[in-house]
Amino acid sequence: MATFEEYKLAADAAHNLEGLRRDMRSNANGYIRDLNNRSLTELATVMTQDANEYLRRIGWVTRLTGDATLRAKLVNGLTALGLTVTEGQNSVAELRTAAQNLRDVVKTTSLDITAAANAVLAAVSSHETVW
Amino acid sequence: MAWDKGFNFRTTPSYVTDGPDETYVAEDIYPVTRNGVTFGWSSTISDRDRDSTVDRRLAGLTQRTNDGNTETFRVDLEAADTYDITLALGDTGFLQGYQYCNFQDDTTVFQTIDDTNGTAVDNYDDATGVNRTEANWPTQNVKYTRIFTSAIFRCRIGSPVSQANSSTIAHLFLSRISAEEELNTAMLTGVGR
Repeated sequence: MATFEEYKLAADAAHNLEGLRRDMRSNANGYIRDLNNRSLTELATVMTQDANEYLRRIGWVTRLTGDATLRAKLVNGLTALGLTVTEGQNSVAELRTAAQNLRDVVKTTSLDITAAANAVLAAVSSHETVW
Repeated sequence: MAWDKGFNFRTTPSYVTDGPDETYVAEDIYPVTRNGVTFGWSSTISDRDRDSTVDRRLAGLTQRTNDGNTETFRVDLEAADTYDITLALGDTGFLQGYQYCNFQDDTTVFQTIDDTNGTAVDNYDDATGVNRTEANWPTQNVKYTRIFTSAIFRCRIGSPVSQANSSTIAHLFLSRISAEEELNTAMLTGVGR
């Protein structure tokens, strides 16, 4: 049995991770598309800023898992939703690695940018959506 | 690294081409990350494509019926610092009898535009609440400068009590002013923070 607070924490965490996955893949496709109409410097700057934003959003979830009280609430909420902590942890690891790589990779040439975008698409799996 | 983030509110992303440092907002619910910034509305809200031949920033809008309920658009800033805020509150297609918008530093309201006679067709309130025609807004709109104590900007639209028509936001732009730039301005003008 979970409380409304625990349910909300779990639902928001899952919603954030799934939304982040959507944004990371959508933006990666956008970088490749924008090679024709934005300067390389602009694109590289936005890619790094995006990566930092991704890590900020992952930080919202790891704040919950890093605190014993919050973690217990999150686990209760996830359990009530029929979700596992392991899936959440795997998702965080998958997204964090891709975000860190995007932040740190060299993004100087169009080939660099294409490679960085494709690396995100390869590392972050696509999930089915209703619409 | 400059932090300049513009938001053009409309329905269809491809309706017009956004300028540098800008992205569209099409009923995006917070949190969405695009163009190096995380942003979004507090809940579902309606938007419109109006006219693709006008300035791209004024081509569409997001509207909140002035029925006493409000919606909030949140932007996660890079950090607490000084930012310039640019706004276009109006409609290129219809008269709006009342326009209401406020700016918040997280939950602290620091600017309110309470335009009791609203905006005519092709007219926009800028960030200081001054009405500009569509032709004049691009060159004459005045920015509002705020030293943020938080890293969260909120823009709330919709009249707090029932009024005519809708509050309509077409464009919002946030630009971080670096400490160095502020210092240079202060040295040149003799005006401190």
